[in-house]
Amino acid sequence: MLMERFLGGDSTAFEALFVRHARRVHAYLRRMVGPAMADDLTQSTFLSVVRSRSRFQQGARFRPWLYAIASNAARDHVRRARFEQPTEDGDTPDAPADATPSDPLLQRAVQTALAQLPVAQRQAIVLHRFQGFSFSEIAETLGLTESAVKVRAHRGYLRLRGLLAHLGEAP
Amino acid sequence: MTAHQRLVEHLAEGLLDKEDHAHAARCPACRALLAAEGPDVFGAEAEAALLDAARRELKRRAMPWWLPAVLVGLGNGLLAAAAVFILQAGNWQASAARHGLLLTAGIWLAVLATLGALFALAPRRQWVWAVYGLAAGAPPLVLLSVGGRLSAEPLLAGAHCLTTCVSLSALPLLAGAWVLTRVAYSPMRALAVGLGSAGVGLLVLQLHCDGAMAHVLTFHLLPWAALGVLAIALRRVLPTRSYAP
Repeated sequence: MLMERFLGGDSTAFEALFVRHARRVHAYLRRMVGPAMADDLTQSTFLSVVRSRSRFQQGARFRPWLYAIASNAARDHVRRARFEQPTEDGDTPDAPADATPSDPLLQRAVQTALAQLPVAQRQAIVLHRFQGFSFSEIAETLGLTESAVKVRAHRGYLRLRGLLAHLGEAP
Repeated sequence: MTAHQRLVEHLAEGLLDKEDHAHAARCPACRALLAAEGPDVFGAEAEAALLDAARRELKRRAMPWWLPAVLVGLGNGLLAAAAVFILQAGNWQASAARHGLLLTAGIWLAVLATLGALFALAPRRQWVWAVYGLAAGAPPLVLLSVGGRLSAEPLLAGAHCLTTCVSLSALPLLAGAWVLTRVAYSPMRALAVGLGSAGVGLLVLQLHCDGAMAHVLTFHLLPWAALGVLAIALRRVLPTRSYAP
């Protein structure tokens, strides 16, 4: 609805879309490319929405389109530059055994492990786990079939679990 | 299946249950997999600056997505027509018996050269396959129109056709690559635009040169395909103006 109003020339509709999605897109990009580039890529994403609004297909859903743009921006960045390593030596930081899910060290460990996944698997996991997308929505966003997305997510989770094994395992 | 594997399976299927959460509470590595979103660090200042930039962009008039592609297609058509006029359609005059095949191949290539960019840049990704369909049909049609004649001249004698193909396709290729910067980088789209742009050179040679099979294959079709692939490399190094699909 908002996108249709925006396409009709209502610029306040764009601001409403921005307010609704900007923080989530920023969080997505932060997980995809690291904090240093997230601001720039969020800007590129929303500028692309403005510049390419004529490419939005009437009746399509806005969120998958928006995240397709953000995903393209992230992929392009990864292609052009090496992923920013959160730690100097590239090692995954250890988290204390009693870390809670919101623990910054644990967050950092997860972020570092995510950074080591191939972009395709990272996209599937970040959209699914952290952005709350359904597999069908991810498929729409990335232009893939739902089963291909599930395979990517499954492989990604397995690999991520392996990368996080150093945090300690219950028997 | 271990508890770790079960949790990963369920996580990937969106079917986490109490047992998985109980396991995660005891297992730090699995708990990390379920880690909640951290605090948002998108500052109000950065957000305001971004909104300002978007407002400035909003003041510019939005160009319909198809307009640059249509302009490129028109330019390709005009260039091909001018080149055929200047170089003359020698092949057409030399082969009255093959006019039907020549015309079919010529029209096919004209559609590829003029509509290729439009199809390749359509927001619906499926349209790119129309370009690949046209491109796949081009070599058989071009070779059929040669009529099975075998070359009597040394192979390298026709090298000027290679130069003609490359020089006639250079401008369309650059224009196509420029239009491609208005969408996210996609090798499939870049190849499609490249094959369409290089179709200009192939079309002109089709009407101009009455070379035999080996000559057409080596100095018409091979450069055309190579220029198509070159478009991917060209687009890869160009900056992206929009990341829209």
